[in-house]
Parts: sequence; structure tokens; C-alpha cells
Amino acid sequence: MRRLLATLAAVLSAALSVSVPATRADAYAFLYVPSSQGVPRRWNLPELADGRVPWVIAAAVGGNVTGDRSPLDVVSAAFASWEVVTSSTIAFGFQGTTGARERSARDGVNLVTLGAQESLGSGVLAATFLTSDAAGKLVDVDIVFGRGIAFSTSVSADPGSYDLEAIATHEVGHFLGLEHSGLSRATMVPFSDRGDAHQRTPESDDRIGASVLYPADGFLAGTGALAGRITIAGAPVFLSHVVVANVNGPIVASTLSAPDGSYRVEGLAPDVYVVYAEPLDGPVAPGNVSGFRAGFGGNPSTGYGTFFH
Amino acid sequence: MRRARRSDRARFRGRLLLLLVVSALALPVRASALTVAAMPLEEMTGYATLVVRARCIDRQVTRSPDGRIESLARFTVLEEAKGSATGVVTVRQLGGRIEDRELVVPGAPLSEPGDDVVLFLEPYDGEVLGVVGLALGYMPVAVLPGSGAAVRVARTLGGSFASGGVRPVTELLERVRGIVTQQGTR
Repeated sequence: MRRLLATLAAVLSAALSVSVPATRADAYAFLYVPSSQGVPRRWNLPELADGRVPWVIAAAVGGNVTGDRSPLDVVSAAFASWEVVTSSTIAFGFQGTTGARERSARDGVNLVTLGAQESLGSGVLAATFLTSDAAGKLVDVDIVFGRGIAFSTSVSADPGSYDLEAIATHEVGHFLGLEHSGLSRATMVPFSDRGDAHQRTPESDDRIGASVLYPADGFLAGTGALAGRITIAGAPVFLSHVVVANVNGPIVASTLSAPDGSYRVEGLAPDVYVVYAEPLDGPVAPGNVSGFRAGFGGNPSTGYGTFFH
Repeated sequence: MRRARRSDRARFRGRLLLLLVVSALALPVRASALTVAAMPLEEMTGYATLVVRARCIDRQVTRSPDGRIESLARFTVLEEAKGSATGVVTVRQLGGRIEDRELVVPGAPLSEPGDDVVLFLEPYDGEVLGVVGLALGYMPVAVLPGSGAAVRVARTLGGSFASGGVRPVTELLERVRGIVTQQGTR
């Protein structure tokens, strides 16, 4: 009973703090990677040929990649998995293979490479390098897979290897401008196991992110947003993980609070939702959303538990 | 009215329980990382040649001849748990800004002067060191009222840290020293 009362007190506290209107209207969801001006990084599709973001793949592939499909087929499937999100206009254009295997930030070539010699550090499976201007317009993005990592291209996930399609789908999410998600079932969660292929298909949180960045006609008009502010005793809470769930249970989306405690989750279909806020305390931790932190500055708040609203 | 209140309360409790279940389901339980292979503390310590608590002095952004933007951050070593350092270490970090070009790698920390962190470092290029596992080997230190310097540990570190949460820095560094002794690498 004491525990229930404590929980209810927390709920009431959260209700009071969440009901305060956001003071920062552009407190973007942490799904995005903000530029130094605090705006999301994204491609300017109208200025690209056919509205598609071009990409090439390095012809050289290390001996660490095995399986029954070609790396090109697998990476193409990863790009396609985002194109089928009907509420988003994001589209990609494959431009062929290249002899280059190392990334460059100023060649304007969006390279996917499984044969790079660059060291990403011990235990790093893949990294996506996003280059933009200060206004957030992406100009060059390269995806580098770790050398020496056992990747599988097989249709059926190989329990002894990392699933290349799942990891590529996650990296393509970065390629279009998404940050890591704190939701374990999201494609953009930074964690997976050997043989785990579930990230091959973007989930609700991922699809909403892609749709808000590149909205199809009618998407924004047909959806709404939840906004509020997370505070403890009046003090703003930075980097609180704010989760939006359907009242019947399924988690729909999540975000992080900005330095002033404000949060905003867009792209929500008309429905009844519940919101809870919790510390970003791992396995997804503040370091995993460094792009978001860097865009806003400041250090995460600590010393609080989960609040429901 | 009272009956209605009870009904609301029961409905609220039901929703709360449902949410607790939903949040429990949302907790990641997997052991490896997508962009980084989440490693237990023993493995991270094994990869690292140097484990220290350090404070960032500055971070310089450079552009390599082939056009790559990257950062070199200098840290003053405050305390060692594995290996020995000369007082200041230089660490390569992914990302940075030069003129109108900004490079960011999601999941790769960038330091600012004054940042207090525990670093798991490995050789990169000469005197320049790299961070083991991007964010995994970079643990920001926060000084909490009443409890001193602490770090937020990932559950994936396993062992006594399997429950995650905020732990004293001294506990983490002592655990690393214990692992070093067990591994016989010091």
C-alpha cells in the first residue's frame, strides 16, 4: 500500500509537471540528430535528382561477410525498408558500386562500405558519419561497417553472426537523420544480438520519425502532437526518456526532454495516449544519443525515478 | 459519487499496472550492441590498455588530408585503474565542426572542456588513443549531492553492475582494478 501511495504521489507529481506547457516549441524528439542550431539534420529532397538520396557501395568486401545473399542485395533491402513507410517521402537512388572503400566527408558521395580499413574501435559494429551544414542540411553521409566483425547476409538469421540487414537498416535510419531510440523493439535501438534480425523492419517509433522528417501529403495534417515539460520541484529535467503508449498498451513513440525539460512527440494518430517519463539509464544511456546531447549541450539530469501521466 | 471514485481509482490502477507491464517489456534485455557490441566490464577492461578517470582540457577539431573531420580531446588524468599515463592523454573522437561543415556520428561522444569522465582507452595512432566501444567506454561522471562522484553504469557491464543505475566512481574503478589483477595484465 505504501508503495502504491508512493507511486500515486509520483503520478500526481508528474501530472502537475507534465501539464505545464512547453516553453520551447521546437523541442524536437530525440529521434532526430540536431545540428548546432538545434534543428534536425535531414536531406533536402526537392533539390535532389528525382527526390532521391543517392548512394553507392564499395565493391571491396572483407572476408568477414558470409551468407546466401550478396551484400548489395542486403543493403538495398535495408534502404527499401524505409521507403515502404507510406507516410514518409524518403526515397533513395542506388548509383552503383565504387572502387573507393574509405569514407570522405567532402566528396559528396554517400558511401556504404564493408571493406574499409579504418578502425572504428574495439567492439564497434558499424557507424554512420553524417555531414551537414549548420542549418542541418545533410550533404554527405557514409556508412562504415566494422572490419573483422562476423556479418551474415543470410535470409534466415545466423545465430553466430550479426545480421547485416538488421544492422544496415539501423544505419540507414541514421542516414536519413534519425538518432538512437530508447525503445528496445525499435530499429533505432543501438543494441542487438548475434542472430537477432528484428531490426530489419522499422517499428512505430521509427516510422513516425521518418514520417515527421519527410512527411507525405496529409501526414502532418492528419496527426497530432503531445508536448509538455518534465520538472522536479520546478527544476527542468534534461534527457528524460519520455514514452508515449496507446492507452491499451502498445508503445507508439518516445523522445527525450530538452535542457529546459520540454518535450514534444509529433506524428501521433488521433487516439488516447498515456505518457511516462523515466531516466535514460541504460542500456541506452546518454552517451548513445550523443548527437542529441551535442545539439543542445548540457549534461543529463540525474537522481529521479519513473513518472507516469 | 464515492462508488464512481472507486471505479476511477480501480481503472487508474489497472492502467498503471498495464503501463508497468508495458514498461517492463520495453526494457532491453539483449547483450550486444547494434553499432557497438555491448561488452561486459571484463571484456572492456581487457580491450583497454588504459582505464582512467579524467577531466577534459580542450577539444580541437581537425580535418585530415582526405577530408575527414575528427576531434582530438585532451584530458588530465585524475586517477588510474589500469595502465599508467603521463598526466595528459589525447583521445580521438568522431565528429566535430569546421567552418560550415558539421560531422556527427550518433552514439559517439564528443567532450567539452571540464567534462569529468571514466575512459576505457586503447591504442589508435601513436600517442593518440581511441575509446573502446564508442559510448560504452566513455562514462560521464556526475557529482551528486550527498553521494559524491558517480557514474551511470549500463546493465550490460554485468556482474555486480547487472542491475544498472548510478554507482560511485570509486566502486567502478575498484572493480576494474580487481579485474586487472584477475587477468594478470598489470
